[in-house]
Amino acid sequence: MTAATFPIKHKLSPKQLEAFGKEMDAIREEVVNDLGERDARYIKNIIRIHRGFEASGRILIHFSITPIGWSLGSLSLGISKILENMEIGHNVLHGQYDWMNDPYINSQTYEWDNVCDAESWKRTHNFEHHTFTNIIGKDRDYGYTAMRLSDDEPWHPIWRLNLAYMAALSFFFQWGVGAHELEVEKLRSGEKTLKDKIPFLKDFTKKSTRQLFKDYVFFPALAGPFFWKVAAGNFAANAMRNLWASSIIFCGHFTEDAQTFTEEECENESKGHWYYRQLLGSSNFEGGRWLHVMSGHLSYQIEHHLFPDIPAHRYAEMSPKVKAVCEKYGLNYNTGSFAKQYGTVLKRLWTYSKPPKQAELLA
Amino acid sequence: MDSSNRQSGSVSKWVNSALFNTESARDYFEAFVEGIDPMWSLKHVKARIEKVQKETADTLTLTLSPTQRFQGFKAGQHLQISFDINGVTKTRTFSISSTPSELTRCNQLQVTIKAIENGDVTPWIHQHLAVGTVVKLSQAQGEFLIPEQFKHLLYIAGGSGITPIMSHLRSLINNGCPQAITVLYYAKTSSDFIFHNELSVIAKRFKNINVYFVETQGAKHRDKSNQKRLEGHINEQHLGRALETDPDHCFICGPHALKVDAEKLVTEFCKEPPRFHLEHFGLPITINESSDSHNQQAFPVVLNRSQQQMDCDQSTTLLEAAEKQGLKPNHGCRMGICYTCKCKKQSGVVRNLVTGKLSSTEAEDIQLCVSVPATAVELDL
Repeated sequence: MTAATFPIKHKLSPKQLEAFGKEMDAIREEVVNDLGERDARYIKNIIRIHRGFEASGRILIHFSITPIGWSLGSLSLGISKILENMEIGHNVLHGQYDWMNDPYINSQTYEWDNVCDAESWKRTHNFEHHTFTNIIGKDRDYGYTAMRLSDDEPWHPIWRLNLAYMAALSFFFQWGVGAHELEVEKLRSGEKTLKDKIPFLKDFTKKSTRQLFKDYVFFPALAGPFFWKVAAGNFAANAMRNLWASSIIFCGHFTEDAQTFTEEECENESKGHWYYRQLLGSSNFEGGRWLHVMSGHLSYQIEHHLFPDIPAHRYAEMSPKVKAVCEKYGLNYNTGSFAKQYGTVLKRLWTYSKPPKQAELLA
Repeated sequence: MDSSNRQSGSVSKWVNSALFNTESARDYFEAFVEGIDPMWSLKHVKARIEKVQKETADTLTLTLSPTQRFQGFKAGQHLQISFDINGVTKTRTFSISSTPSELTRCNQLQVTIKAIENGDVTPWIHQHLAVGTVVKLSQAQGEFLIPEQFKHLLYIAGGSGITPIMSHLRSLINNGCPQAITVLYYAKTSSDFIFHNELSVIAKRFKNINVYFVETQGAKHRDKSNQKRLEGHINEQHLGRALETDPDHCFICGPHALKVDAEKLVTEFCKEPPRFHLEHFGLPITINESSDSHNQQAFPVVLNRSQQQMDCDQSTTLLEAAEKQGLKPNHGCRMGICYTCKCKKQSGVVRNLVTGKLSSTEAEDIQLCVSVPATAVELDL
């Protein structure tokens, strides 16, 4: 299966898997029963903070006369986009706050500040990625079909540029995510035709046009002769969000120790095995509170994958419990500092940019 | 003109959705504004709870002061109140028991609320709702209104069904109404009559107003010497004793069984039946009059958006079935009034429990909280 570089999966018997699944259910149940005002207040506060950052960012960029003002404005707008995408949009679209019965904070109606259409995102991310996490051939988020992350993917000379693809995807991340449902690889292989993709393309065009209008027409035009100053500030904010979001997300599943699975392994999968796969396929990173909030608590990628519809700010309190269960079953709880985890992503990409034989020798 | 208006409307909608990813800027700024002062809002009527006053063992009256956005009400109307209960917005419908003139005079309105056993909201109101709490209101609605012209009004109330009638009576008295008014008020025991003192005083002070308190339970142990007392469930004798002349309007508000019986009895009793005004509170329990054996048959329901399938029988609403399935559809009143749970039915036929009517087979919006399947159904949920 995976190359010898990475530790072999610690197998659990079906009985153990069932018991493991029950323990996960219990951790989940405890938080579900405790959901309430604290969570509602949390997300509403984050929404208010986001409004503050967006307004101050746009105002600063608009009125800036020095590069310092412009930079601070772009930074503030970038922070707002990160907060909106990671801690609000991603989590609300997962239905983490649907129980509040608030029509604005609801997965059915929420639309986020991203060129990716929320409906398309829910299909490719909530359904595909979260159901088939790290199953090679079924989880299209694994490498985004743009990077080679294991020997399950046959080697080809184009993969020598693995790291360059990563850099490009990072920089234009929202466009990669937005166009994800186009399934370019399936169009190329002939499995799908462009005609199948017309409804998706319509939605994607609609959504991305609106986003482009906001950041590159409306707000720049408000500044009149300073059109380009505002457009550049907005571009910087978008780029900042793209780099940040992609780095956070790459650390979630592409770290050195993150395991992959085959379709056969996951046939008629039990709930226990689903939890097991989510655990071994994901990786956390550690850091201060601000890092957790700015990552939308995807720093707790493991907990997010085990409990995708639990409000993300709860993952911190669930983490020690998950860790304890992992120890009990002898399972790896993949975590480390952000820098370390990001380093192993780069290492993995470098390793698999080479043909299989060389990869083994390097190990 | 009209088409250009519509065009500019859709342009502004598009711009809003581009700038704020919401249909209107108000949605975007609402949370922000609310955070500064909970009474502030760009789109909702807010109200502060000014007073919580016990009426009987299981009823209380809330006094609310609404914000400027509230457009007023007519006596007999109801409104929805949304409470934040441990982070969850829960909306219920209540009849207003105070008068429109009181709203104009001191910007206050009152609702009288009975605690429903095992309820989600009313027991919470009784135990936890504190003065100073801010709630959301809908505008007032409802057709349970005082007629413009009348000779004799007959009111038949059951339990907390007295609340919209209280608003009528208070308004009628304020306006010095000289016409005959008869009130038949049914409650379980003597301690369950809401507004008992006020109604007694009204009956004493105004010759044209007769109020009959009727205990449906427990009256048997009482002093039987008081021959004027009526007791038990509504019957012909009650009407015979209470009505000297035929009423021209009859208002009924109370449990479903009372409504059905009262309407039938009054129609039979009067030479010329009055105009009926019924307040539709509480879901009727009976579903299918055509008593066929298929009544409990379950139908497959496909939930397209969440890619799930479930079975739903004809005594379970689609909302309840979806909730049992683990989904959390938007909902509000759970009685077919507020349309929060509106959802596109893509195929199949459903029965509306409030009207008893079957839907068409076409794709259309339905209310999940009062719809049961009559065939296999596909929902955009």
